Amino acid sequence: MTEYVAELYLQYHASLVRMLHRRTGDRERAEELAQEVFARAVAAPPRNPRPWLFAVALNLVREEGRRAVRQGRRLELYRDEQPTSAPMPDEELLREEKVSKVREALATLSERDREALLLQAEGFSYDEIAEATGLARGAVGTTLSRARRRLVESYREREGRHDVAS
Amino acid sequence: MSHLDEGTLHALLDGEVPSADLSAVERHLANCRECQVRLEEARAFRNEAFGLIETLDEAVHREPVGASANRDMFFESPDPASSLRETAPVSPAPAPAAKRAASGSEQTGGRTIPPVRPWVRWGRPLSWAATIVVAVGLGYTWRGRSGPDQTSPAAVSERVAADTRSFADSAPRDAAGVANPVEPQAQLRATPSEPAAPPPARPEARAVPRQESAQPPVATSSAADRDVAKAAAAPAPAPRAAESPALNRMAAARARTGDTTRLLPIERPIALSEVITTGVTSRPPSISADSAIRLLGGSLRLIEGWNPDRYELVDSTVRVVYRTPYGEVALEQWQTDRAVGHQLVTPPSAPSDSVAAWRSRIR
Repeated sequence: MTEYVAELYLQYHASLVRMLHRRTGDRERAEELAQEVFARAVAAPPRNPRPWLFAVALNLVREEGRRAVRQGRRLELYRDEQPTSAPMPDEELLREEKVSKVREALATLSERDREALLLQAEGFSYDEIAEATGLARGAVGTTLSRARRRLVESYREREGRHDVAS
Repeated sequence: MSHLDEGTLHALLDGEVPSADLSAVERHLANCRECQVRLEEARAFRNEAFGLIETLDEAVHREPVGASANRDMFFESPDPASSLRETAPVSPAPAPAAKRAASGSEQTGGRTIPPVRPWVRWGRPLSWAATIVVAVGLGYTWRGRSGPDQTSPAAVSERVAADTRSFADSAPRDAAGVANPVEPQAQLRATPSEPAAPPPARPEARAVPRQESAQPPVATSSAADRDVAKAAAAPAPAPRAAESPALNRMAAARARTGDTTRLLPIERPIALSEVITTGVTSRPPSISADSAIRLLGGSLRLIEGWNPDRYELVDSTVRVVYRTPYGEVALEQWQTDRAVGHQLVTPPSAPSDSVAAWRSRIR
């Protein structure tokens, strides 16, 4: 069993943490969540591992969000990166601004659209996205098209640009 | 047939239109100017969205010192198993050259460099405990599958015990040859046994054994020859006292034989830089990031803003593999005694402008 999970760890850990970091904006939290996911995989090894691992990870993120709301805390979907003590060069500042705008734009998407988008960015097939999110397979293309358009347009709004895709 | 809906256009771009529907979709597209325009619009949204998502990773790669748990994650976390995978490749019969290179990397530092494990810093007992269960369990399993010299019960016990000790020890251990976990950036610039090396100081001694395994995959440029000639004319630096006894012995032996040339820091020029669009097809054994860095003599090129999915070794070539919606992209790198080369291998479906952008971000 552990051998099987070892394979899963080697194969999916980096991808899982990357997705979780994109989703939460918090690297340490992403690491912790990924460890929790693999701990659960040890307890109950999944048969179709990739969608399972990512679905569990996304459930954990959602549960965490709901818990935060229940406790009356402000839900911060995207925590800022740890600030630096040294002054940032202009290029760094611009990049930080861009990252912040992308996070804001991503936060405007519905949970399901955002999840489909992030899973697809990890190379998930439509079948895998359907399995991990509960979407119908036939709805994945529509979901992704809406998510991509929304993300881009929302980002462009924040950039002060209103032109359509060319 | 009515016009294609946007979901179908995106599915087409993603290669996800069911085969039963594909010919009808393509037929319509061939005759419908409007849908062709919408397809291009969908393509633009798709590419831009992917680029925006990637932007979120750039913070990871450029994260300043002291806050880079995520850097740890990609370069260290998979280590309990991946470092072992070097001695127990999944491939049943790895190429002899790959074997030589892998074993050379193990011996380069005179010992196996223990991994730094970021989870030892975590305060959450559950995560910590779960990690130990997973990592020790996995480590034991992998070691059980290692080669003949790894399988004796004593050897396995010793390695597991060493792992357990390292879990319990969360202090930075740079003096023991392990990169300080709060400065993971250093691992990219210097090999773990010289954590405080200034940027110009190349890992001289470590570069030596590499030359035995590295076969020149490309012709080196004349610039490379000039560089070596220039390097040979300079005096050899003394081996660093902080380096391991094995490295010091190696350096001393070379000094005795007058072979100082290869101990010099060599600023290696790029021998080849090109893009190959055949895509990543095979799946060779994975290696750890540390090994990848060592195999390349201390410098590893990455695509800025991307997180590697894995590192692989094919003969003497290190491949840094990334996942993209178009398929896997590999940044292949190799080193000879006179030059270092790299090439980008991209999926055939990747748009040329994306490939150009990726290439421009190789650092």
